[in-house]
Amino acid sequence: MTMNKNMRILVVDDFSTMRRIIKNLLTDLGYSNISEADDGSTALVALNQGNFDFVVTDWNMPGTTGIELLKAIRADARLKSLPVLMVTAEAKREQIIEAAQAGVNGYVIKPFTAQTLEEKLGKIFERLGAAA
Amino acid sequence: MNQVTPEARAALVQRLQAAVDALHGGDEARWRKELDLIAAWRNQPIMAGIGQIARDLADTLGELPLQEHAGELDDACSRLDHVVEMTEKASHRTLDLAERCQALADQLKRTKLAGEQTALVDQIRAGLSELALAQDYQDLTGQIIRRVAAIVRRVHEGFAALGLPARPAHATPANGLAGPAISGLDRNAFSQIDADDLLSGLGL
Repeated sequence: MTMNKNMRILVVDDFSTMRRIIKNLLTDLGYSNISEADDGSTALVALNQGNFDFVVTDWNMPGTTGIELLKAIRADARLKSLPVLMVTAEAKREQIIEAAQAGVNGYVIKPFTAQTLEEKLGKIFERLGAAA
Repeated sequence: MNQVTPEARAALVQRLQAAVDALHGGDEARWRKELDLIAAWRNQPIMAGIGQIARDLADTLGELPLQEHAGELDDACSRLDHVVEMTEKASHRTLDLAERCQALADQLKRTKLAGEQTALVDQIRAGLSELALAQDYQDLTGQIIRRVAAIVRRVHEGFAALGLPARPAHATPANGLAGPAISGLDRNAFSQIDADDLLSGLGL
């Protein structure tokens, strides 16, 4: 996968302000095909309906959490290779390990800078490109 | 109800036996003492429950004294929820304005500008991006507030479980000032229109 600026991105966060901030940052980076979901279960519905290329998700959300969403994606035959970037305030070592073991592609800790987000995105696509 | 360990059961049997023996023997002081000890043993789960609640509070809030009235806790939670809503609205307003100004900066860049001016517009645009990103405080503080509210609710439930009265009291700080009014909670609060009406009624 390359950094296709037309890729469909799903931003998942229970806070509407954070969804908007991430959407703005992605738009600034040239991505314009962005949808939103407010928790893991609405995200899964959206993912099953549309052809998404990338997921940016929070961890701590009421209902289905980000880690549950990640595990559900990895367990789904159609979705399992979808790259997932976790953007979360959860910053404990064991949580980061848990996310990595669940198959996360990148992990950004809130609060974060635009540069951090760009770096992690770049790294994910670089690695996916090398693996392809 | 807590599980009774075999040791606790044995100790209880011993105490009951001692109380019965004292009763048979006519030793009033002794059977009263044994019954008191049994009563104290029964209260242990309640004491442990209170201890847990106090630890929960202390862990999250630091060393805060417990509220005087359990009813105030419910009110405090509603106020915390309201803070999250208020900051959410304020953040969206800031984001609206930042986006509008960014669009204006883009528009300005499309006009004929001197090199120095273009650099300045770029700096303004970058500053607006930073300003938008800084609104992430709303998510972060919101998460903390929700967590504290959840703990306060648990404390409230803990008090209810202990049978302490949960009076619907509205919290008023020591200086008697209620602070910002919260719609739905502060039913006696005045809007600007209410205030204007009142003042005009008073001839002002």
